[in-house]
Amino acid sequence: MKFWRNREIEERTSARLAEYHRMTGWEIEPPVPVELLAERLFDLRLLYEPFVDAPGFFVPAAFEPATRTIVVNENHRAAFDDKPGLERFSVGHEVGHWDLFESNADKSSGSLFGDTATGTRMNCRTVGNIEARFIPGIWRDDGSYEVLSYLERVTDSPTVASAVNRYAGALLMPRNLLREFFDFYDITSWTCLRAVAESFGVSISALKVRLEKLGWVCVAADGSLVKCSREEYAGQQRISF
Amino acid sequence: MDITSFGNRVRELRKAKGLTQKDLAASVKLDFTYISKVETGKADPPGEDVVRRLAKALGADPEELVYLAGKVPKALRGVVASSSAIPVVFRALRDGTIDDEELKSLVEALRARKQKGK
Repeated sequence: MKFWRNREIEERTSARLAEYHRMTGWEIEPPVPVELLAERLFDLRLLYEPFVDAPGFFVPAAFEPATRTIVVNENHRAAFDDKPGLERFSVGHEVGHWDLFESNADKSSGSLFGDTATGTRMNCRTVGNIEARFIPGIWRDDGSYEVLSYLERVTDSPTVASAVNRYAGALLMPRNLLREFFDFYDITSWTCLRAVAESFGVSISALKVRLEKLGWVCVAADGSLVKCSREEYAGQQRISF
Repeated sequence: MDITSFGNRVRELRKAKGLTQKDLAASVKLDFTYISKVETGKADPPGEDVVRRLAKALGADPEELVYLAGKVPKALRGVVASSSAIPVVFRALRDGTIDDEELKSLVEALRARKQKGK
């Protein structure tokens, strides 16, 4: 399984957004139209259908490679209505599976689904039994993204989960568009971050993670936002001690 | 009737207009989950009135969508019901005992006969 570096993911998502713009003539503005992008660029289908989570699992979406269908779990509609960013991120996550690991151009990356002609459904972002106690409130607080990410790390292949989540983050929050916003918004203000998150149709947690990945901001020990990368912040901490 | 042809056409038209399933659903007052099921062939097409609303929102030919949805347009229902021959024609078309070309020839022959009678 290929390991996707941050730079490669940034390049891939930028290229996809540019391709979408060329194809449609439509300007890419936040919120990035992830559903249309999935349909126009990859001819993926979107189906809202209830499916039962395996006991102790939280499964917001699944992917059927044989029919190129992203299946969004209708049973979690209340969660999606409450947190639209969760649904959009889940769709972006599934697009990432397709683009990074399934599309014809990248067969060398290896398929997650084995024989894609068999109609296998890949349930994504599942949560193991041990962590079931977190699930009922998973989408109700700003820490949901971290909880979900952690649970994915313990249930999914870390390589795949990391790559598709970084892909979803980069697709939904393109670097250049974020840059334009932070020319006007204070990146160290949680209030501003909430406004930006709303504009991009993502959760505040997903935005925070994206900004940290970009090295633009870091959450200090006291919860305040510092304008530097996590590494730089850690360095400063070491120096101050 | 192949319900996927209706769904595929709706999806094709929607994509061309740059509408999401949610955009389209809101404009015709349907649930977006139903639109997604119709497009993927998981649900039957809606009734004629809704099909016409969809056609309007998509800028499409309503007759084409009504036809693909396998509906008999309201305007033709009375005609269909008034003739015992029409179901026979439909059954023959369905069973393949006559094809479209033969049907056209038959209509032409009937017209010619009528003209000749005048």
